[in-house]
Amino acid sequence: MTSVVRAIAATAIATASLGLLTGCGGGASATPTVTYKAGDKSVDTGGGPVTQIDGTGTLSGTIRLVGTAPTPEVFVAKGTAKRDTNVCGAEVAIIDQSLQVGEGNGIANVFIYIDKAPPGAPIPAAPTAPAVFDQKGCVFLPHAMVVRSSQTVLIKSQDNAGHNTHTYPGRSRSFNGAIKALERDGVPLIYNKHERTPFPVKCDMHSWMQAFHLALDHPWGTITRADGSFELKGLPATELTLRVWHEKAGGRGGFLERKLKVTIPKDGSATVDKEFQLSDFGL
Amino acid sequence: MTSGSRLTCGPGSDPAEDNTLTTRHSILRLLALLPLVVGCADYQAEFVNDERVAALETTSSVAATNLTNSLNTHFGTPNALVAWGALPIEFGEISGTVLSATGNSLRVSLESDPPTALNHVAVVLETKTPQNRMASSYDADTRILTLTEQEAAPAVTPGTPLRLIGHKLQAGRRLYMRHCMHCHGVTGDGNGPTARYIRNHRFNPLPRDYRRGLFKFTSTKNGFYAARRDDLRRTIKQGLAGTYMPSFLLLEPDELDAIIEFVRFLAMRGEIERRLLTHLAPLMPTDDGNPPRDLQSLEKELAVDTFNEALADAASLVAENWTSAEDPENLVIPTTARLPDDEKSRLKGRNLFISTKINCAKCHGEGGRGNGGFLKDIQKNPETQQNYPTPGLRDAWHKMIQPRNLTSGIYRGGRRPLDVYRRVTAGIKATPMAGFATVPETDRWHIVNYVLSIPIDGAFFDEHGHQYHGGDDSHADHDHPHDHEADKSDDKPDDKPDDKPDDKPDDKPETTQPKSAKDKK
Repeated sequence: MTSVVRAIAATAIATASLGLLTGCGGGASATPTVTYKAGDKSVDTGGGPVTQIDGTGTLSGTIRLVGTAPTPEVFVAKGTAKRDTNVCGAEVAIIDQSLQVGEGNGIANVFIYIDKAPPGAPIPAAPTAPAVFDQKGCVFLPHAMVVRSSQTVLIKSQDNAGHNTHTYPGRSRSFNGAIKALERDGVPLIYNKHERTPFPVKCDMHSWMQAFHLALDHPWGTITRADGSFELKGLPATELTLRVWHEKAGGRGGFLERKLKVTIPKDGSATVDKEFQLSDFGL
Repeated sequence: MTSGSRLTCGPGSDPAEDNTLTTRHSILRLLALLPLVVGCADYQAEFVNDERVAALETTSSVAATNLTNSLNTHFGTPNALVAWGALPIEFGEISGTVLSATGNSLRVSLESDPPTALNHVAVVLETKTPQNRMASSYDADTRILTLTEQEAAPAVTPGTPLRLIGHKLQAGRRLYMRHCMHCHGVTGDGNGPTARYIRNHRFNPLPRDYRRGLFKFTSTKNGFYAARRDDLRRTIKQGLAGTYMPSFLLLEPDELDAIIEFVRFLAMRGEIERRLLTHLAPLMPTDDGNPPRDLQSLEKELAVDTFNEALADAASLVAENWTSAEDPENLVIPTTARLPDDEKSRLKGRNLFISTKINCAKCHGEGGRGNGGFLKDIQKNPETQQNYPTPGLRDAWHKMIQPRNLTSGIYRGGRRPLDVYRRVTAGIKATPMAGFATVPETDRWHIVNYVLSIPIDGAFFDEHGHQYHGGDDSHADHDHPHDHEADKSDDKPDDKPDDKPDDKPDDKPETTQPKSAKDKK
């Protein structure tokens, strides 16, 4: 018994002296050292002289699903919205648009784009006309869109109810602005930065409302139509690496294909037809 | 344990938990631990990795190592900080000129004397190839700067410009450890030793995790998510009303400045880590825990070939965001003075507040108690596209948050009319609270007048359109959205004043339709 007490007392003294000796813990109370590291002014991307890419060509194709897609969930049956009832889903039911399979099992809203413009390819100016991002019946229109990073996006609303548009881009600044009822002039938004992947755009007021945007500093990106087909015109005539991205392909960060190589012939066209399994969409 | 700090005084050492000891032993043991508990205001400190780095390590140790090394190289450790010139941080810099050099002793002329005794700050000698050295001391009387010993004495000629860098960062770290670390953690991840006592309630705001570079209460326009120095200063000086963040009004101005820079340093470190993790995301294990396909080529591409490019990109984006936040152009400044705060203006504000055109009441509730119907919806996690498990609004940290109860008179971002104007105009960053900059400015002032009147006059009207009398709002104490009848009624489609067409003139108070009128619908 006594020895236990002694041992504890000894521990107390030892710990106390340790505390005195080291300033108790030492580490953080000691004055930290500061060393300086200069900021690199530029990054060597390893590029030598760039040869100009001569001419352009067209790429087209279709993205299809193998198997039968599940019936999309009905988020809000017609006329049953708990709030904003005479606006949200008042005319048509609001259904899950995250995987839309159309004619011939084509998959809509697949993003097909080049991550970075190939060096030496002249980049056409962005359209001066703004892109329109609308909402009707508490559904974003369109569900997926590609814009130029310098292009104005006009956020409009046909709904007689307030909305907000909340973006989650990777490199651009996030925006969260209220869109008042029947906003027809449009609230302008410019992303300003090139994005590496499409990103969600949400309305926090209506939890099902979600769309995907992609802002590029070049014109070479598109989405597939309702039947899964797409066409990209004016692509640099060279070997390109395409990204194929879909919002449901979450297991791989949205990529159905991260590096799809394709060679675009000058003044000619190339075709890419791809099929994906249900498992590629986490189904 | 993913805590922001390594604790010497961890949970296991709590003597009160051990009830098998006799009282006497307990006291002795308490005494034994006393130096640890009392004397240990500081811990063996280190910056901890983001939780995802451990997962990355399982598939690509190359990526995890490169990430960790890169953060070490550019930010250092709490005891050996690195001032990285790529970032817009005031590390504390003093310029000067070398007058003469003898071995490690330099006689110098400095533009200003260091505010405190110099101890291990960086010295950059601007010779043809700049030399990075370290000062061990400076004597203001003799102007002798002593460098820490290095193998070769500095070959500097008189007249060589020099810069002393880091005294502010150093002071900031020291003060941060004393005043902030307990909640915000050594890394600034909001996970300090005290944080776990705060996270026991779902609505308790957690200590800010700086690592996203996001701050809620700022004075900048929507879209500028980084905080201004003045925003951080306001929060530190005044605290955040209604949260555990206290006021540090008694700190000296230079102490505040130093803490602000260190918080910015931690925020930028976290942001760059996060951006690099996004870059490396394809290397993370898939949902089933397996390595990704083409691991080797992905690893070469992301963790080796393009890694430095990604780091430079992250640093430039972070620098741009923090710099642009400081730009006065991006401040939210009213262009018209506040409108007279009279009943007419408050009524207009009230009508706007409950109007479906802008939908304030859908979150804040008809009575302003923060219990609007949108709280009943299940939201999607924007990062995973999965639904959150429970209904309610979340902030960027996925923490359940509550729209402000406007009856309480407590405003986290400040209670001046200007503060409320800024919340309405620019929203609250990192939350679903949007900026209402597109609503005409006069209308925003009406909303401000109304919102500021709620704690005095109640919400003017209750959920059924009846005017309150004398601010007698017996519900005002309830902060919990699910405690409320108003909340329940909001979910009944029958009881929804907001679904009727909103086309009344602004100057008439809007009231709910009588029950019979609604039944006809």
